[in-house]
Amino acid sequence: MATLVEIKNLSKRYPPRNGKGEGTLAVKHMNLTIDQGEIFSLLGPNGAGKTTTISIMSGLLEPTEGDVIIGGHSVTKNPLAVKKLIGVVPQEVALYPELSARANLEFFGKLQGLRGKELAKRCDEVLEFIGLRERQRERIDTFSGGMKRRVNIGVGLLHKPTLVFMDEPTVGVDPQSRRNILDAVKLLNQQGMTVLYTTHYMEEAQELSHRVGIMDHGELIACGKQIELIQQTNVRDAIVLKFSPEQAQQARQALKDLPLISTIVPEGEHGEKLRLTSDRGRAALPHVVRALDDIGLIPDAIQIVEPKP
Amino acid sequence: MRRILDIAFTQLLVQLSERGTWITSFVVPVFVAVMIGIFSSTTTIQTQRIDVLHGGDPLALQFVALLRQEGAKKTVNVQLFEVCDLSAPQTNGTFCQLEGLERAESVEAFMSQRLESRLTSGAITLPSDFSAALNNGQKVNIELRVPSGVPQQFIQTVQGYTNAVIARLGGAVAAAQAIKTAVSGDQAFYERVYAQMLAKWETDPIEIREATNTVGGQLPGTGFGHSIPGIGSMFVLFSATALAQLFATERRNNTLQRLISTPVPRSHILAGKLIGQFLLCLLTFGVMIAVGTLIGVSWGDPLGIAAVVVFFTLCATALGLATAAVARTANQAATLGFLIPMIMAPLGGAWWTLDITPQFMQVLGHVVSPIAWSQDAFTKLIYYNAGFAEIVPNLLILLLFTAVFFGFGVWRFRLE
Repeated sequence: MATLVEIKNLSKRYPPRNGKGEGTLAVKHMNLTIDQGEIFSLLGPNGAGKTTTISIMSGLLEPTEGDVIIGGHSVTKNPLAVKKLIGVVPQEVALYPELSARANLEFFGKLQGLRGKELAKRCDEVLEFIGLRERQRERIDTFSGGMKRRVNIGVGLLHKPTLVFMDEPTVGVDPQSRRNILDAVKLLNQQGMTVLYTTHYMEEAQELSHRVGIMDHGELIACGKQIELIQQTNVRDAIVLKFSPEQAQQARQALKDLPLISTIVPEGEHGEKLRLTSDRGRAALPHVVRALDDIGLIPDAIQIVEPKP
Repeated sequence: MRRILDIAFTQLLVQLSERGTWITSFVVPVFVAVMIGIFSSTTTIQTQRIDVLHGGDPLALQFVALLRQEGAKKTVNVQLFEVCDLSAPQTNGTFCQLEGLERAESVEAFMSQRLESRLTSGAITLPSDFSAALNNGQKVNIELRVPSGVPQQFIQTVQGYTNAVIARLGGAVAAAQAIKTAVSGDQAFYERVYAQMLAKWETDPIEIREATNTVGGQLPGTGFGHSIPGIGSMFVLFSATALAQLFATERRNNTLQRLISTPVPRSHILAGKLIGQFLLCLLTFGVMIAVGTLIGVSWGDPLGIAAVVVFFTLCATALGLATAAVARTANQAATLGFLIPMIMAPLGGAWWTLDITPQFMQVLGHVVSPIAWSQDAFTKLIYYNAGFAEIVPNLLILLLFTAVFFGFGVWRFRLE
């Protein structure tokens, strides 16, 4: 398959808030390619650098270093050409609450260059796709959270983009809406769209993606097809430990030097879960518990997760 | 260009979809302007009554006649005061409302009653020996009584006119007597000289012109001619500086980020936002002009009025951009959006005419507030029948303000 996205040595440093120091390095020398027609998931906890990466790719932020090439166009040198190829579904609902669902779609459609009958046709198709045709004339501020999320997705798809960025679209939605969103992503991909999907839920990444990249503290710490990831880490199964976010940090420090642990991936919205992989699988659990006991930590929950290649 | 207009009209639609916009941009400005217009119409430029009581001697009658001439002079095209001669009621018009004088206990009591009920704004009593005292070169005491609550400025004006009349009368009498004494003592000769001297005063040798009376005109004026454009300008500033809050809201709602992710250049997004706010401000001013027209404001040259409205709105929009460039947070935007109009409006003469303020305040107002220049232009057009050419300097200075605000805004503003 042809390469659609090429991320080359991408870094982003935010300026310090108080004007002192070096600021925060949110993305560190990231390299990645995404093929046409692929669903690629970026997995990691809050603060891992996923949203910053997508913001650079969609032209919202300037990179400190490196570049992103999308469809042969450089994000830094030719952002408008890139923006014609992409559709963005931001993490937060980005709609005018005072306008109706259709008025929102029509406005953003016009900015994407759609006019007249073509615009009306695409609005009808998208409203049908997100299941809100009946309520298209109602103001957004009268909608439930799930309905707003669906319109938010619809706006990103209006102009049939080649590549769609979906930044944690299922955060804060009910299970039924979440299921609808995941099904919609699969359907879009079947229709030929390439999807870059960020999440902090391993299950979503496993269900949707052809390939997964794991980010933590601005670094892409692992990347590949799920089977490749398993092979990379030689995992038989994983141990998922749940703590409070503060305890998770302490536990991570304590476990990182444990020889039989291959990777520690933070999960959950606040990194409150740690997914441990080991070539000894669940047999590593007693060693893990002993190491945690040495520093006085007891996990709130322990889960053994078998890999789904 | 189409995408810029799409952004502009959608922004206007979004703002007009909010009830708060209707209240702050249309309802409140109209209410405040009408209230201030009513207040200023009744307290500052309504014709007042001045009662005069005298002994009916020739120079007293002459005094009344001369004071009537002074009272007939107009300030912003409204007669300042009407003299009501209580000693010769048949000489007065209906405006004096002297019904009941014949039934009164005494003329003095009637005059006091009129003062207490504030039917009259002042009462002048001439001494019974007014003519004799003047002819003999004695000092004449005239009593001016005013009810409480009459503006000090009005009292001073009446005192000024009374003194002018006294000077004319006294001057003529003194000159005639001096010549009579020097020549022959003939009474007929005295009468002729006195008449000629008084006639000389018909044309005042020294004339005081009002500071604002720079352009001639005959249009009737009311307080609304000042309050409607003044308060309109202030609320246009409120609408314009709300641009900073609008950007803060769009950042919070993530719609600005979504706009930036579309294939529309950032400069076009900014232009669309500015045009949208300009249109809202123009609507605010348009409503004020329409309400003013309904109330009866004679706007004067329509081209001139349109030019002032457009140039001031342009300037206000540029100020909105400059405000948005400075405000980093929604709270800062709200604070600046309140403070800037509340400082510029009174300094620029939106609440009261700058003519009544000290000289340094007038200078300060014209340096810091574009409202001062637009109000000057409105005053010329509304009260003095000025043409377009006479307001061109005001328009150029508004354009200069626009350039400064816009330059600063473009330099400092960041869309993200």
